[in-house]
Amino acid sequence: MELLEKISEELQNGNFIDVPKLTQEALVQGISPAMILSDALVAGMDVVGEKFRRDELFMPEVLIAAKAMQAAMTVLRPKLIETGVETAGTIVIGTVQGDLHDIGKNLVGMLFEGAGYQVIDLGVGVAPERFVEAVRTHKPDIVGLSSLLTTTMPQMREVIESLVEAGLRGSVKVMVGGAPVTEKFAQDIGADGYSPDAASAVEKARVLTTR
Amino acid sequence: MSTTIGLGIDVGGTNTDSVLIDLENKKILSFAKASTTRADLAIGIADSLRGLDKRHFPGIALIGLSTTLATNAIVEGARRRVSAILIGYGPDDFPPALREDVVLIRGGHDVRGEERAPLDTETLREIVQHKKGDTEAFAVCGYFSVRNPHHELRAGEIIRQMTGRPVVCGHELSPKLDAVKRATTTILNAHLIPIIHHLVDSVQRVFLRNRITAPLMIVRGDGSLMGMSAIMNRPIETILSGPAASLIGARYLLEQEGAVEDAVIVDIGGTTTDTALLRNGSPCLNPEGARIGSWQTNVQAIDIRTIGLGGDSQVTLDYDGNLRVGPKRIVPMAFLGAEHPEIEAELERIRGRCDHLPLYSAPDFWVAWGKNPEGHEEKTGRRILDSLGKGPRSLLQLSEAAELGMTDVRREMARLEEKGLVQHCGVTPTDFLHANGTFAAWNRGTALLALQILCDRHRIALPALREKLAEAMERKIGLQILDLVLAERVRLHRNQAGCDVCLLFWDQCFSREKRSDHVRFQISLKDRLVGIGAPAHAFLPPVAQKLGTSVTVPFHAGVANAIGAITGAVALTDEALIRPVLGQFRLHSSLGVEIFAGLEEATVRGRDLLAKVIREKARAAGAGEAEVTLEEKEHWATSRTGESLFMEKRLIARAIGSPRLEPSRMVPGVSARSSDDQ
Repeated sequence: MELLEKISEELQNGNFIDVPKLTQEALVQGISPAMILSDALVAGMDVVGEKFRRDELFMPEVLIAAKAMQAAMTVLRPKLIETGVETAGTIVIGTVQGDLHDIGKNLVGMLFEGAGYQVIDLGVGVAPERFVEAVRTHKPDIVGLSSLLTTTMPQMREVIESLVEAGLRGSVKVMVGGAPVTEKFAQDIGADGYSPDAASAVEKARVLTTR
Repeated sequence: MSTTIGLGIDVGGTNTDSVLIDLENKKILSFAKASTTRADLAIGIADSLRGLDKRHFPGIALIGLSTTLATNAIVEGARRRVSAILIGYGPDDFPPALREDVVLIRGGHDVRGEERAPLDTETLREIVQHKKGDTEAFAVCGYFSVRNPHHELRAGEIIRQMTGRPVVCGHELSPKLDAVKRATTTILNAHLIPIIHHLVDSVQRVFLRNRITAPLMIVRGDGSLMGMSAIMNRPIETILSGPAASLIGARYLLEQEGAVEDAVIVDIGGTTTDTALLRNGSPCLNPEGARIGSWQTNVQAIDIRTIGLGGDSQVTLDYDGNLRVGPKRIVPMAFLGAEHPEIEAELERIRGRCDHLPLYSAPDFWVAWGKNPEGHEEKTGRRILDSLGKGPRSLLQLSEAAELGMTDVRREMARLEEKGLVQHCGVTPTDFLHANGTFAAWNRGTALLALQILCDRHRIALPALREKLAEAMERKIGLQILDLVLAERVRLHRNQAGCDVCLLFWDQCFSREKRSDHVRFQISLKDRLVGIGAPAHAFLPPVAQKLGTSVTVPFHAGVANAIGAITGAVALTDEALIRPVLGQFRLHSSLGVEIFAGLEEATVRGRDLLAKVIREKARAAGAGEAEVTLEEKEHWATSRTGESLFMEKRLIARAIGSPRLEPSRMVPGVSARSSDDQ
């Protein structure tokens, strides 16, 4: 559909002014929110992610596209809730204690939302107890931990251990990410998954939750 | 005369087996079997001792006991008066079923071992004052107590001062995280304390009457032995004691034939078949902690798989001629015929009329069991029980006596069985073994008659029926073994309904009737099978063949469990953990938390502490000379940019030692008179 393709294109260009307007237009035209989400927004972000993986796009361009997506979601979200679109799952995300970086985490949040997940973002500098509380309250499928400082990497282990102590470890899949984090580190601390970037995080989450 | 004799006793679900072994010369001197007396285990033990060669009694220097007592008590929901003090716990942090025992108190620590809130000693004292008159044992658990046991230790002290009752803390039972498992384990442990006290008391009396004064040790769920003071405090560690003893016994018997590395031990009993692994000669433990009934604990015990399939499992044929074995356990026809030979007449009568019996009816009999309650049963039940008062009755006879259809009678019998008033008897694998001459303990004629009825009713010849049973047994046992061996990698689907390829695979491997002549699937298991339990001889060799491996059924396999009860060693582990904190190093141990400026300092202190503590624990657990080894695992992580991060250092101390033998205090030369026996 022409309009959906246009939305996707403008999203890829990072046009955060026009994308929400076009989204509104699509709704007025009677296109279902679910279809706008999957065929325009997620489709557009998929292309962005693919190009980023192939080094055809750089981080700032990814961020602007995400900003456009976020603008569209502001328009779309209420409609999605209204029409009761089935969520793909729930994810709790946060940057670990002692760490204030949030760009990567925010991107992950947007992409998960774009993929149809309910996202609960605990923010930055989140203590292990708050992660545990959030798991208890929201019963998510996944917990995503972000750390951008080498010195705060061990905090991820503390979150996992706090989940074990609370008897909740088996009820969630824990994913970790952030610039200094590696696959081996994730394995060593007992995480369920690691992804090198936000785009592959969604795919990894899908794999983890379908077994 | 030898003074290094060990007396091993296994109190199982059905039998209480005992064995006398010369521990120094590794010789089995005498063994005996008796029936287990559920109501008072000591009676069965006394019976079993009666079957042993008394001349060796003065030489007994150690007694080892394995028992399903703890497991049964928990599974059957035996409850004592227990108070559980949970420190820093929330309402969701323990199983709701244990709510009654629990009191929540403020306090507890965090993942770093730092205090989350001070221990509320005031409320603690109030609660203990209130409960002390009504509590047999206390359980104390703190949130993250394994990172800092301080609050548990303090609370324990206060309780001991105020009440003098047994108090056991969570961190004493396991160093593992998971507050829910910790609470479950500690609370169930408290429930077991009075129960184990009672058992030890009555059992010690039996030994004294037999003039045996040797120290008593009990088998833990990981196969190691535990002495008196440890048993009285941590009875929960005896869950899976029975199966663990079988495993250790099997290993002992294998060792007599050469070195043992890897093997699958298959114990086919009366009701269940248990499988467990030996790897490098050691029993494989369940990393999740032992599961008993619906309770998940953190007790370190063997990883054992159990299925409801045994020598006395009920054998039935359905409308399509499919044979099912178990899980229900009944009395074999051969046994019934041995006790009541008169049933042969009834069996002949049934055979003559078998075309009029329901198709699902294997020859079914019932016997009265236990006390006959007066006035509790209404008309039908009354008539049935009266009829049974005269002896075993078949389904047909009961139907005639109660003037009811056979389906209704069956329903009634199921109800009476549940109340414990009657016992069901019928065809079991034991009957097949009698029929083909493998077993000769009971009445072969009855067994044959019963099988013949089954054959006639389903229009199948006896050899074909035998094949069906063999196939059913082999398939179930074979899959159980594969499930165990593959457990690290794969979860076999329980109902196998999912995949056509899998179904084809199982059929080609286990079925007599192959689905395809063109493809052959073959399994090749590296580990050999070791069979223990009386039916192992009969049923295991074909399983081994289907799995492409060899099978050993050691001589004395029948008392492997009692042997294992006395040949284990005392084995303990303890841990300390060093973690980085703000440029310094924190040492977490069972004594508390200490902070050091350097890793080396912390390590040295950790080593010293562990070595000391574990030697003490081993001595208290009944070990003689203990060999202590220390394992150190340092974990450094590397960031994506190549920076090195110190994550932790784990110190694990292990103590292994033979139990301390205490030769008899009895005057030598004075033998036990038979009239002393009770």
